[in-house]
Amino acid sequence: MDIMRGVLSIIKLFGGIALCVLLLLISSCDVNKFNDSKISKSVIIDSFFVPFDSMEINSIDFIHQSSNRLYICHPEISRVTMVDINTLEKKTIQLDSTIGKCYGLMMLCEASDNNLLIEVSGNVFLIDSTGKILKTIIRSDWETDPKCYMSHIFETALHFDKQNGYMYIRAIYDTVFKDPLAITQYPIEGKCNIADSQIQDLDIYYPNIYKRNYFGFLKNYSRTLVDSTLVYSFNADNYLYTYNIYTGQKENYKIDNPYRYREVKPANIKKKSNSQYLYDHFSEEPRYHWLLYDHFSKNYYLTYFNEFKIENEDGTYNSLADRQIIILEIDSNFKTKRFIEPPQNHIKIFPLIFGTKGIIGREHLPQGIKFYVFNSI
Amino acid sequence: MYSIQFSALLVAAVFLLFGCENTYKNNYKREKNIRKFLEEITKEPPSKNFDVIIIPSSFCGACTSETLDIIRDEFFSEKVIVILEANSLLSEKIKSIAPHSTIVTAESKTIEKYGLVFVKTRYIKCRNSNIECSLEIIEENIPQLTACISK
Repeated sequence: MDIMRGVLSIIKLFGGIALCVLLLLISSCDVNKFNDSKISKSVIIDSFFVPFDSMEINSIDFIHQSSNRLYICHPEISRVTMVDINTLEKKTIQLDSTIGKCYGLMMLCEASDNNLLIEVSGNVFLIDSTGKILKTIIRSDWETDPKCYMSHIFETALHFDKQNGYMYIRAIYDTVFKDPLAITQYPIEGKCNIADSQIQDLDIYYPNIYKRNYFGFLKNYSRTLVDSTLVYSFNADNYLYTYNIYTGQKENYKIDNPYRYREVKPANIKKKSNSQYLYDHFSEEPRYHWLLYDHFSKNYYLTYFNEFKIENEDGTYNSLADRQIIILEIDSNFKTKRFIEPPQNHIKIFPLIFGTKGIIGREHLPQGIKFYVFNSI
Repeated sequence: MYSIQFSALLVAAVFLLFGCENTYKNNYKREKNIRKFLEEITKEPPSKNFDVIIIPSSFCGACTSETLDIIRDEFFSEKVIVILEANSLLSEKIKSIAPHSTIVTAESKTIEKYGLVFVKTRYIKCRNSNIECSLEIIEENIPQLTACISK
């Protein structure tokens, strides 16, 4: 009898300890979840206005920054506006009509000798500063080609290395995304010698997390080229991946982000043809979005969308504009330095633009763009 | 005896679950606020019968040239309310392909507040204040769209 009582009291003791551990775990999760003290609030410290006509304002698409220069693309009117954010000098580049005939997203980057590389839906042209085509680099039709090289989204726009003369462009092997699990089998980046238009694939693939899970629309990634290193961030992965374009050396770095409370839940592959389901999954799950490099502060900035609920239990709905966005400031050793909360949501922050005084957001007004310089406190 | 009761309960629960799934699909859950939304935007209650096209512009692929072609083919002679986020270039295109349409612009925040968050351009038909059909404007749905419009 005494032995039985002894066993029972030991079980009770262990049960009590287990309960305490459980309570501690729950409370630590809560602290992690609701302690926002590390996030730095943004303060607008400066603003400036650049006039644009209504056609230009309504057709703003991709924005590329190189040092003080912004290249604002207007694909619907075949135009690029160059703005110097220091002098506010504005120059219009009217593009050759051949470029205008390529329907789709327009992305660009600077090439050598003040020329530009411009891409519209997988067609890449080298143009001069007046918009005249100097050379056609790539011609493709992504709707029929089984494999193509195109930026596809703004976060994976073109990059050019002035030292080696290569353009870096996203490789898409399954252009119609027939097999969602096959994405990990193919290289995701190509390099193109703009002198002879020869393209070769680089040894860069989707990370292993995409081999194990189906993430639906959360398969996007963002990458930037800094000196000799391509740096990648994937929607559903908590790592940054680097690739040295000269040596081929690869590294990965875990992202320090306490505001990522949980891993991304995979999507249900049985619903892969239900785009509304995939869109809701994409909207509700936490995700990394856009990785950019600030050449002034020498930091990387990675935007992160926290988890979100489209519909509340009482049947009301939430606006995606109210979703929590955090900007991670990451140093050149890939250590997170700060977490920044962007300013009010009427200010557009994508893509992040950088100035000497801080990050720059925008408000598109009928008469032009008001730029807001913000920094954290 | 206990295991029979338990099995019966399990079977009932499975049926209930499937029932919920079907209800979700057929209940036009997201579309239910369309009348309230139109009332807020136009500042007057909508009539009992109306046709709406919602064009989401915030997601890539939501409004493609294929979508615009279908709108032209199916809605050229129709009176339809087209809801879009402020974009004068798209408004002009819509006016040329659906000349009898009424363009209503709304901020995405307002559209989202009423749960009208769709990944693709969508047609909603409302008759006697009830949603009769709600279909994505995509090539695969053309027969259903034609049937629904002419019903």
